[in-house]
Amino acid sequence: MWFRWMMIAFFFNGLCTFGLRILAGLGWASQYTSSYLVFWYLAGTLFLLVQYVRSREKTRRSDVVIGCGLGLFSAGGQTSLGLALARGLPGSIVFPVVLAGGLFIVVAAGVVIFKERIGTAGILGILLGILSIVLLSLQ
Amino acid sequence: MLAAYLLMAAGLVSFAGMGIVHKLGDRYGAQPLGIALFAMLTASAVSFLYTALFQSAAIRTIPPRVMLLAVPFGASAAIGLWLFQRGLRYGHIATSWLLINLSSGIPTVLSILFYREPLNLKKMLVFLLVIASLLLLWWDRRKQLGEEG
Repeated sequence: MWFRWMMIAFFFNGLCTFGLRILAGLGWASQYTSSYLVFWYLAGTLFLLVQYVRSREKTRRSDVVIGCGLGLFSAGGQTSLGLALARGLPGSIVFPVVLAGGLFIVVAAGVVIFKERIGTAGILGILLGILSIVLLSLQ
Repeated sequence: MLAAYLLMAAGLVSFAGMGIVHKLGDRYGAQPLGIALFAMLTASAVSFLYTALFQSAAIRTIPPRVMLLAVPFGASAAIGLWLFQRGLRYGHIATSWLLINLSSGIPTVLSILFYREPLNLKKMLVFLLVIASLLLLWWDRRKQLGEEG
């Protein structure tokens, strides 16, 4: 069940950033990226709002707190990344440190704080995954 | 330069914070759809504020094609976020967060297919590592489920 949900999420999460590549292909990236992202988030919000209304779920305080926290971390992370690059730090340092470092912290938190048990295959998978993300971010 | 390093550290903390907040959402029984909706809503508000304050001219002159382009990919992001939180119920954040981050290889594959970007040795190595990592994570989860009966 876990792998099935995660693979669907994997596909959609990977697909969602390809719009930026299309925008760059049209030569509009430098001018319209931030405006594009406004409509990108808005489209996602409207899609989820329709699903939310249809599901008739009751809003819980935890949904709001966790959701807003995620949104703030996401926006804060993107802004910090962009500003660090704008202030002269090379992408070859910023991306591997932020992506691989962040992954390492989450893995460590999973094991140490949330007491998650990972087998040998899982540990090897994590190491290969972090290596691939470092290589991908260096391109 | 110190400011740039501090900003990088802030990016690192934010990125790690996202993974931990996802796990807290699962731990405290928050609803995946609600979490995804409020996360997208907050990010919409922040990105709108940023653009309105610093790039207001661009948002006024945005071509309709750019707006239309954002619709399917924004919906795709929403589905990814929602289903990730839903799937997290059945697995660990340590492996789930890695798996979702490996999806950054998908735009690279699509760029090779649709924009004829060259497939060099380094990219091939990355794809092999991603596939090997996914298989190992799947194998580990299957083994754990077998042990739990």
